[in-house]
Parts: sequence; structure tokens; C-alpha cells
Amino acid sequence: MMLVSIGDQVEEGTYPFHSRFHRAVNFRQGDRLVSVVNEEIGGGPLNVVIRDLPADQTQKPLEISDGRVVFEGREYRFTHRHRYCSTLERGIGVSARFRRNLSLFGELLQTTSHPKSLAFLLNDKRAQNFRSGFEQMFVEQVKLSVCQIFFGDRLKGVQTLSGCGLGLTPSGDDFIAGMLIGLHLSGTGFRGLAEQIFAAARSDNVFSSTFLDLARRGLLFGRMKNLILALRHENEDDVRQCAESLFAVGGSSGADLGTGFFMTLWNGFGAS
Amino acid sequence: MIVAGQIRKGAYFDSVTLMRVGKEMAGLKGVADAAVVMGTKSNKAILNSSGLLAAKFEDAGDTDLLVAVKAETQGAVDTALALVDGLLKQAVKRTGASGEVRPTSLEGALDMMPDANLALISVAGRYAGDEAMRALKNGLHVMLFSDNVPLEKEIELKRFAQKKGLLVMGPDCGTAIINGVPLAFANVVNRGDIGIVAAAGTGLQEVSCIISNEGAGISQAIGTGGRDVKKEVGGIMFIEGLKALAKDKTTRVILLVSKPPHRQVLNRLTRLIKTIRKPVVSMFIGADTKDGAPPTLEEAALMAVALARGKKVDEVARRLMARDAELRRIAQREAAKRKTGRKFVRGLFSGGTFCAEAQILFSRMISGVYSNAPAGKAKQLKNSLTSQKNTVIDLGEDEFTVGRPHPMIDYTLRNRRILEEAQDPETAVILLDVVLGYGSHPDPAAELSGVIRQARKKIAVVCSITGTDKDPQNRGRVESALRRAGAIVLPSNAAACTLAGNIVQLLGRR
Repeated sequence: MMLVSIGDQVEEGTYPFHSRFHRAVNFRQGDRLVSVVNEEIGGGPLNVVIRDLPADQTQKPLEISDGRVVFEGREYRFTHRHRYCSTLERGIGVSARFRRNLSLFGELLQTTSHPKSLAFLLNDKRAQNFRSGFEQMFVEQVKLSVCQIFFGDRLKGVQTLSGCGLGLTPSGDDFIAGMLIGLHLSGTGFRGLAEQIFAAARSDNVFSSTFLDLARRGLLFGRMKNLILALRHENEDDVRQCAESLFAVGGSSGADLGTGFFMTLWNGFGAS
Repeated sequence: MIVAGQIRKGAYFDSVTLMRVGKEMAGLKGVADAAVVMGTKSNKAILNSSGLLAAKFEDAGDTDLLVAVKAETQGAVDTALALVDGLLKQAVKRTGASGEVRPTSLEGALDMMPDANLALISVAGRYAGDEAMRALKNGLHVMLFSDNVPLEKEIELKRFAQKKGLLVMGPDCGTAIINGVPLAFANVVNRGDIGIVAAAGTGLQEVSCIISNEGAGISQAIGTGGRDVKKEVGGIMFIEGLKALAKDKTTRVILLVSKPPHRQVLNRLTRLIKTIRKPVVSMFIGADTKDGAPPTLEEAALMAVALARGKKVDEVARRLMARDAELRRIAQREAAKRKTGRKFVRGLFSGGTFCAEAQILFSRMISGVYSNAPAGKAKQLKNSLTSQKNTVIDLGEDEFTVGRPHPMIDYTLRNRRILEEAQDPETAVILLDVVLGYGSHPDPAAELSGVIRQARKKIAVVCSITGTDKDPQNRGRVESALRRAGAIVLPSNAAACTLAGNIVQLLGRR
């Protein structure tokens, strides 16, 4: 077993156990989570990536000190070379490549993302994947909220979208995180708006509040960072590959995040 | 109706798991609707709108899990709530607790993806037919990768599909490209306006890659399985595929690839082709080419490209004649290097279509050709493990693949045979096909380079590569590595066979 990378936002300290999943063990410090994950999940600003994540069920705290991680009683050493860099310079530029790649990403959301992702906002036909009474009401609520965000009272829309969705990180929160990343990339002029949206979306859900905070500050996990780099600099195949990798995050989380990101940049939300 | 619920503190699940559990609860007898969601304010509003908000949910917070049930009787409510734990555990197991959903049945897959219109079936042959029929009954086109499906079942499936306006690609269909998506053993090719129907798997790969490497592209590539063009099946899907491409607006030129179809099937095809207003290039490996039909897969692909570009097909013949002259020069150089006594070619193929094409080409150039899968004038080898004179082996035949992966994936057997053939004092040339793309070995150059270096000391090694630079293995990289190892790398199987045949011809004249 070895430590593969440690996020640039992981600080020294002792973090009490919070929860455990198949590929991640979460530890809490204040209103954020530090996660020990396997390589499939990969690097992130608050991730400690370990090859062959042990299957132990202990709930010992995570200890991080100078060059040393103690996880489930095992010690892992790291240097500055192991630090995962989550930042990316702002600016989407006006390149035709970015616009073309973004358009392709929008198509991929509609054609290859999880059937129950928020990509129905881009293609109404996908709403038929939501069948039960609750699911249909969910679709209506999301549509109304997103409509408000883009064409009405933004913050009210954010408030009603926040927490909307079934799982651990509700789809609405993923969408908002995608919007925040889009705003961050759009330039410093949108910082104020991003702060307002973040404040309106805050909840008691520590998972959501952690990644909303990271998104607001433009701190990206590996798959999202790769996608943005591919949109800026790479060709169609790379965009496809990165989109596929993003869509594999969580049940529909990656695609929900991607939908918020796409709509913010494509609709010129920030500019309106 | 009774609405009731549970609040579970500190229970975290991803959305797909919760949707699955909600759906399974809603499907229980007497239950009208159900949902399992995190207790956020927004979710409570949605529960309220859908008539699922239990009074006790008002006290729940963002991180609480809410289980809501609407049922006709209290008994049904109790039963549903009692099952929640089990359903959650089951759902977590199915999604691998990671959100990656893996359906375990066709119905489950359809449930996840109701818009799907094609099923790829790869299960043991004895079950594959029934699975395919189930898919057809659900309105899905079928790609049947499995082999060993009984002939009667194949006929039944294809007749049923024909009535419903669906395609059955297979059984034993190894490759297809539908709407730009490569299925099974297929390559990453350009999209374009040339449509292909093929009853020959590696034949389809070869023509689609040559077309793509020429800068043109594929609209659809429909595989039918080799048995489709036999008398018993009657070419049902070959004909349906051709009709589909004739109607397809993005297809401007149609290319047909197969071993020679049965006479009755050929007659039907000929009649149909006469009614199609698009150019149709037919390449029936080993068939009579007097009527101007292309003699090789390569020529067929190049003709399709020329037609798609509005050019004359004569240019293709001129280009290939010039190339063949160059091949003769290379053959003279290689023949001069060979010691007396080394005079035979040994073709070791992973693709069955290539093996057949090699035999057809050799039968026009050299005599004494033997094979474990004879085609054209070639004779049956007495023992597939021992070469006789000019030998061409299909390593994908059952005798070599029972209990081991296909030679496109596992090079062990072929590498061993290359070294054995190089030791044979009568071997002058070893002829190989290297097939890239999805499903094939991820790094064929690494597998082959060592043995080619060893074999190259005594004999000539001639390779063709079927693939594109967009394939995961990258054609250019593989080609460079094989050249560095000492192989002569050519752009098509036909070119490689022609060169090998030329060398053997020259050595025979000594």
C-alpha cells in the first residue's frame, strides 16, 4: 500500500471519523470533509489517495502531520511531490476550440450521461426516465428552479434547487457546484455572484457544503480539472474521454455537476 | 390512502441506490407510491407535492434519510417499511456502493435506459438465442456476439426480426459500428458516408480502417455473422442491412463484404442492388472478378472511397498497379538475402477473413498452398501444427482457441509458432496480420517485437496492420515499433500477401 497523492487543501490536524463507503473513508473537520480514497476516485483538493484502500472497519481518527498520514493505524509518508494541485487559472477565453468542445460536451450530456441525471434540462425527452410520482415532481421542481436561476430571481431559484434530489449529494447541489465552477472560470467579475449563490445554497449537509465551498473557490477534483483542460486545449476524443470519466462519478453526480457547468457557460449566464 | 414514513439518522446513500429502493418499494402489492430521499427542505416540498409527506418528516434535517410510503392499507405500509433494510443492502451490493449501476437482466438494463434500441449479447451460445429473442420482443436491435447458437435458432430470430423491422447482427458477429459507436472488436474510424454490410468480421475491420486511413469515413457498419449468406439462412440480415443503408440518408456509397454467398442469396442480392440508386461495391472474397468486382478487401475499400469522392474507380487500379511494382522491387531485395533452400511462406493469421484472402491471392501466384481452413484452391493441412510447403494458418479456428483467448488478444501461441517456423530451413517468409482496435491486445508491438527480432535473422517477416491512429493502440506507434524490430509493414493484408507471394515466386525460380 502506498500514498499516491494528497490534496493541496488538506491541512495538518487530527480528523474524527465521519462515514465510510466502498471507495472512500470520510473524516470531518469543522464544516468540511477530508476523504481517504482509492485511485478510482482519484485526486482532489481534500482527498488522500491510497493505492489498495484497506477494507478495515475501524473508526480511528485520521492524523496528518508534516510529511506523514496515519490512516487506520498505518503510516504513509509523503513529500511535496505528492501534493495534488487543484487550481486552474481563470478564464475560458473566446477560442473557437473551447466553444466547439463545450458544444460536444453538451451533446455528450444528452446522449451518454446517466438516464436519471439532470441532463433532462438540456433535452426534455430524457424526463421520461423519471417515472414515479416523486420523480416526476422532482423533475418539475428542478425545471422551475433552474428556470428561475437563469431567467428570474436567481437566489430564490438556488434556494429551491438546493437540497433537491435523493442521495448523499442531492442533484440540485451538484448542479449548483457546476454553476459555481463555471462562474469561477468566467472571471473575477463574477466572484460576488458566486458568493451570493454559495450563501443561498448552504445547508447542514457536510458533503454538499464541502464541495460547494471548493467549487466556489475554483478548487477542482481531478476528473473535472481534466475535463476543463480538455475543453480548452484538446481534441474531440479527449473531451469524450474526460466527459465519460466525469459521468462515472457517483450515481448521477458527475453528470449533474456537468449540466450546471455547461448551462452556466453555454447560456452566458454570468454575462447576463 | 395511508401515508407513512421513517426517519433514519446518519444513513448515507447515493441517489441511484435510493431510486432503486424507492422503485422496488413502489412495486410491492398494495403500495401506490414510495420514495427514499434525504430530508432536505426541497425534498420535503417535493414529497408534499407528490402526496408522500408524512407528518413526522417536518422534524427531519438535511442529513436524515426519509422513507415515505403511500399505500391502500396499513398492512401494505408495514410490509413495505419492514423491507427497507433488506432492499437498501441489496441495492448497495448491486451498485457496488459506488454508484456504478450494473443491471443483472435485460429488463433491469431497459429500466435504467428506456431509450436504448440495441442490445449486445455475449453469453454462452445455448442461452444466447433466448436472450436475443427477449431483446427483439422488447423492440431492440440485436448484436449477437456469441457463437454456437443453433442454426434453427438463428433462422427463427432473423425471421422474427425481419417481421418487426429489426436487425440481428450475428450470431458470431465480432464487429459492427453503429451511429459511430464501435461494438465488440471494432476500430475507431472516421464518421462519413460509406455504409458497410459484412458477413466477415475482420473483413469489415480491414475495409473500415482503410477507408478511415484514406481520410473518408463510415456511416454505419453492419455485421451479420458468417452464416447469414448461406443457403439455410438465405441472407436475411445481409439483405435487410443493405435495405437499411439504401434508405439511410447519411450513406452515399454501400460496400458489401462476405465470402461468396450461396447462389440463391447472390441472386436475391443482385436483384436488390439493381433497385438501389446509390453506388454499391461488392467484395465477395474468392468470387469471380470478371465483371469488374474488386479482387481484394483493400481494392474494394479504395473503390468505395473513390466513389464517395465522385472520382473514377479506374484510378484505384492504376494506383495499386504502381504499388505492386514497388512490392516487386522489395521482393527482389528480400529474395536475394535468403539462403538456398528457404523457399516457402508461412502465414500465421489471427483473422479468419485475412487467412481466406491470403489463400485466394496465393492461388493466383504460387502453388502448393495448404491451410487448416482451406479456401480457393488451397488443400487441407494434414496436421494444423505442422506446416507443409506454403502454409496459411487461421489461429482463430476452434482447434486453437478452445480453452484459451482469441489470438488477437493472446499472442502466446502465435509467437511460439513464429519461432518454430523460423527454425524450419524451408521457411523464407512469415506473414502476419496485426489487428488493432477495441477488444484486441492493448500492446501488440510489445508482444511481437522480441520474436520478430529473433526470426528476422533468418527469414523475412511481413506484417499488415488493421487499425487507425485513433485506436487505443495507435496504428502509427505499432507500425514504428514493428519496423524497428525488423518487420516489413504494409498497409493492407492484400499488400502483405502480394509481397510474400512475390518473394516465394522469385525463390522458386532459383
